Amino acid sequence: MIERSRCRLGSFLVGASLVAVAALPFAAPASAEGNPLAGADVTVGPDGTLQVIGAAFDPATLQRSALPRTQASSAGTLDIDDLVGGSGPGELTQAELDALVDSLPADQVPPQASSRAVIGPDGRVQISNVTDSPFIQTPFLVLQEPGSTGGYICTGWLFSDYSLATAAHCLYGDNGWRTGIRAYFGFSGTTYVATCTANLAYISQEWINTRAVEQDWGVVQLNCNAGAVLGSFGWRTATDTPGAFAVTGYPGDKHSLTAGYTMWSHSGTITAHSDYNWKYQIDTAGGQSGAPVWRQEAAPCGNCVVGIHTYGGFPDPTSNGGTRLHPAVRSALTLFSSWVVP
Amino acid sequence: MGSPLKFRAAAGAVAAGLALAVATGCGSEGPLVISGTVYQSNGHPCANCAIVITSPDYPMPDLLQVTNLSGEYEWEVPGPGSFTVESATGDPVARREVTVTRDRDDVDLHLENPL
Repeated sequence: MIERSRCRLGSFLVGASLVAVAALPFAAPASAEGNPLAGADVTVGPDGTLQVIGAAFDPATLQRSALPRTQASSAGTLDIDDLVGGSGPGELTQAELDALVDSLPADQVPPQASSRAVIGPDGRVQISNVTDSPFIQTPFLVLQEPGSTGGYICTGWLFSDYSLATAAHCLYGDNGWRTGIRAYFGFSGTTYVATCTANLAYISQEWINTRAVEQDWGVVQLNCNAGAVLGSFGWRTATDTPGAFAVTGYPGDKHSLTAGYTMWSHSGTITAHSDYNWKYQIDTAGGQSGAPVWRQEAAPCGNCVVGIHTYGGFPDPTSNGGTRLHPAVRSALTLFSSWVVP
Repeated sequence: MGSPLKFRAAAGAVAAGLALAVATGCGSEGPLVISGTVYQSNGHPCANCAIVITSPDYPMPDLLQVTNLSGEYEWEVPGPGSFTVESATGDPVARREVTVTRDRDDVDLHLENPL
């Protein structure tokens, strides 16, 4: 357990106003020794609870070159490569999968260089077409706590062929790096059209040291080319008052025993809290950390992300907030966009 | 040596930091933790059930935590204050309020209906 003072949140809020945090060095990229993110196989049971269906993860197996491109389908999961190849045991028929892939833009925009989190009336709407773009590019994330059979649920968004972004607090917590991550694409209830795991993750060293809200962002390199098949979000910088955007993800308070975890979205105006964080009155809940703050725009950005949702009740109890794509985030997005799995 | 203006700014920053540190209970040692067990309606631990903790006093990460195979969870909170522990699993969900004033508070949740 990392010992920290109970004042850290207040302290980094003070830090936000007093310290100009320039582009900070990143934590070392995940490696076989330092960051075993490729995890045990976790799935969602019919009652909505999570079930570990694979053997415990062995960090010694985390060698990039040794990781299979296609995960075993013993648990009945459909891998991205199955999606491309067309023989996966998914919930959809092959014809439906083909139609899905064909319907996605061929030139999906390449990346460019809780107080109560429901504020007032609940304005969220359920996304029923989770296999449409860009919702299929917004995976349900399951992560495991090291040394525990428990874990966490978050949301992510694809920004390149092999990579997704999410919140740092999804990837790294009080016990260090979360030891497993699995992304489910087109997820609704207990069905999904594709899933894959993580090879590497990257977060700011500043987040590890101080949990600064300004550095609550992370990027993950997947072991599959989900973005190449399903498409990916564009992203860009934004002015301090960029207008209306949506936060789309998997809020836990919308879970039901009949429907399971489902995707929801709400839109509202976002404004700058600082050079590093957005604030908004967009309704969110636990499970949406890492969700894209996005809207549909003309090319080149397309389905365009300007932030990563992170907190309920930030920076005040009547707002929610997220991380802007400040220089450190943009550097990581650019770096990971150039990486592919060998 | 910095100018008087810079010194005043630095002193103000320190004062502001100290003021907020006092307001948030800074100075106490060790993390504050809410932990507990989620139970099913039959009294058995609810393994792999999701919970969320919210607070009117602090920004909280929009995470869902999933209990371990013994139904247990543990959540480090940013400081003393009011928190709500709520299950995302169950219909209706289970919810409890807790005022954290010490290093560890145990908050168990009991689901009303079978999963």
